Amino acid sequence: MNIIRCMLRKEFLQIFRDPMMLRTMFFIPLVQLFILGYAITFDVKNVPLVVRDADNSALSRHLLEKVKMSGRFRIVGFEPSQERLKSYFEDGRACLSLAIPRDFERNVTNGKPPAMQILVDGVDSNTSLVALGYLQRIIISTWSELLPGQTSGARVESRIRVWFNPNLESRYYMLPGIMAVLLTMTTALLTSMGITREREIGTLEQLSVTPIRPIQLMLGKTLPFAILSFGQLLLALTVILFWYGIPLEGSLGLLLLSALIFLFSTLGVGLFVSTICSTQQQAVMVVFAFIIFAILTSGLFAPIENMPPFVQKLTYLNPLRYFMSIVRELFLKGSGIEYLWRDGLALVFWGFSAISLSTLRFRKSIG
Amino acid sequence: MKSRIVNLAFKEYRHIMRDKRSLVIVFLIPIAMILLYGYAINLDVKNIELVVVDYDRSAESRLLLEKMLASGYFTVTAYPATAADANGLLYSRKARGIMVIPRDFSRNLRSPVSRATVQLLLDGSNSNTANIAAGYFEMIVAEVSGQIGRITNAPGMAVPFEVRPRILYNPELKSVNFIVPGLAAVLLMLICAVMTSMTIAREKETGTLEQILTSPIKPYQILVGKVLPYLVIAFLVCASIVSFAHFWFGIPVRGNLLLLAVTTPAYLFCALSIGIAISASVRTQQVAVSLAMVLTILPSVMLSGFIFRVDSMPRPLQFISMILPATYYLEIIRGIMLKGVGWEGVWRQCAVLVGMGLLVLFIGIKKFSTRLD
Repeated sequence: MNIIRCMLRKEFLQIFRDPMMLRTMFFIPLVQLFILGYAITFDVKNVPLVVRDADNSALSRHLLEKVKMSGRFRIVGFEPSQERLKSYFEDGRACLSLAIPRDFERNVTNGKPPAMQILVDGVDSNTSLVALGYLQRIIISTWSELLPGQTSGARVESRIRVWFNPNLESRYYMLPGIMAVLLTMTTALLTSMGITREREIGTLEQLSVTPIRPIQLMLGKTLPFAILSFGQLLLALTVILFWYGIPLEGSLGLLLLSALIFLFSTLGVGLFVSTICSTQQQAVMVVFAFIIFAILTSGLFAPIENMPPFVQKLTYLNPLRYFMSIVRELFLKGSGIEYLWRDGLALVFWGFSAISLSTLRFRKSIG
Repeated sequence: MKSRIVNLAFKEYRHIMRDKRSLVIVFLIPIAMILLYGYAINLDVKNIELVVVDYDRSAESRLLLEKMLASGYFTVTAYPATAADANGLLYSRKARGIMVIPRDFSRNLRSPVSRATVQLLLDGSNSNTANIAAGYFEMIVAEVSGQIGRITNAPGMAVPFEVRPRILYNPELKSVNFIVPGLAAVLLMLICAVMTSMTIAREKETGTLEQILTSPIKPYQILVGKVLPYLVIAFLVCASIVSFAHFWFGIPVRGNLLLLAVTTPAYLFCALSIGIAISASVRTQQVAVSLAMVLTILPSVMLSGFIFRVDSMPRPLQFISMILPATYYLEIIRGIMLKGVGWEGVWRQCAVLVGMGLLVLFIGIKKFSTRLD
């Protein structure tokens, strides 16, 4: 016990002596939360739109005013020539174009259906789809305002209600996910590098000839990062709750408990990587590979249901997947343990296997 | 003098080759990432799982359901009897939404005065999916509305105007066409900035840099010699990304590949300069990696428009995006591959990249030499 305490002291001394290290642990994640919280958004706003208004009538201007008012679009230019519209897409100045034909107003007043052409830059498929939907909805609503008699002929009315995130703000979904990723990154990366560094500069051999047992060495190397990363988690939680004002619908205790269980998995990965790598460069690359795999198959950016079946199966191997869904369900839905125990159980299993496997390997690689 | 650089480059090359694990990692990671990103970042919204509570059970409600299923955007996982049974399914993630067709649906449809309603309860936790699902739902309901109107011989929603959307460059709206070419920007940054910054920091850490310095090699020669091999690797990786994108994922290459090959070095130069500048200001690999990650990889993934739209971000972030090399390279590679733009569409981006690279390199070399003296 005493040996572990000494190890811990040494590790903490080492960590606190290196100001860069503390910055990596606390300052950088904070900056990431602040930046990513605003950057990682699927919200579609300010889409650059180029307009070809051949009619230039009161009606067409009214429609354009509506488009501008919506806040979804930014009109980047009026282009009289149909041919030159395309150049806006080629150099990325516009994502959408709206062409209003010359006889627009006349046709409308005569009751003839006028035709409008929308060109969409499909490269960013997601944005294109959402933006196109917005534009069509604006046109329809402008229309029903002008001719109230027309649309009341609609036979079926769709009433859409959104639960859990009524304003459809992607921040509510992404930020809890980012928190989970930050926790994974720092723990796995720093643990693996902390050990390989001792190996690289040869101090691990020195440590192994001391009476410290491998298991004590391992605990001494991982515990500080476990403690620090828990502090990091609390910091991140504070920012999410109080800076972004995203409410935690579920239980805080459950969140912290699952984070604790999750830490076993990431520390285990860090340890395991340190046993197969001899240099920090290698360790970083391996951990990177793990983190990228973990992030991509966790459903952070794109829903798991969208993935092809074999990739979906692959996601079950990813501890972050379970933690991600626990965190998000807790934040957004406030689900109780009755909906989350499966994910929790998977995390326990993962953590247990990761820690025991890496401990076995670690003992061998030291002894 | 030339030969010194070449010798150093060979030394570095041997370092890389001798370390089989690093070598495997350098080449395997990009390929694994292409596959992962190509398959995992799929933003196409299809097969949204719904549960349907059909209180009406009429021919009309079935027609609506059929249309929903035929669209391919929705699948129905269950038909519970009451809405109360359905709510739990949203919590247990068995469904993304609940569609409720009220009891008076068909009656209201037939009556000339009242309007029928359909309700859709969406799980909004993933705002993007919910948003697109709502759009699809409205579209389908409007369509069915018109059809039912014609069938029951009542005036349906007369489509009062025509909107003709045409999708350019990516008519099937496949997100893989967007993601995979963009991956080049991230991977090249990873190899150039992270690997180079680490390799120099490593020599510092192990003390071998001082040994090299006592030899008559000048600092800039060290730098050039050390980064050359990584330049070659990065170029190979870029080529493999483009071939993978084209032959594996079937992403079209509309523009001139030669143009891409000529413009890519501008980006590589910029990324390498960043790697050098980072390594010049740190002492350990651990710090070099953290810095490189925070300064290059994360912003390149998050702020460059690789996945997330820059236009939707707040102003300060848009500004950061403007000083990221990846932003410009994304425009180049997507422009050439997907839009088929020529030199006139990419020369500005190239100029910016070269300018940024020179600036960063200048700072890096300054720092490097003062640190070493």
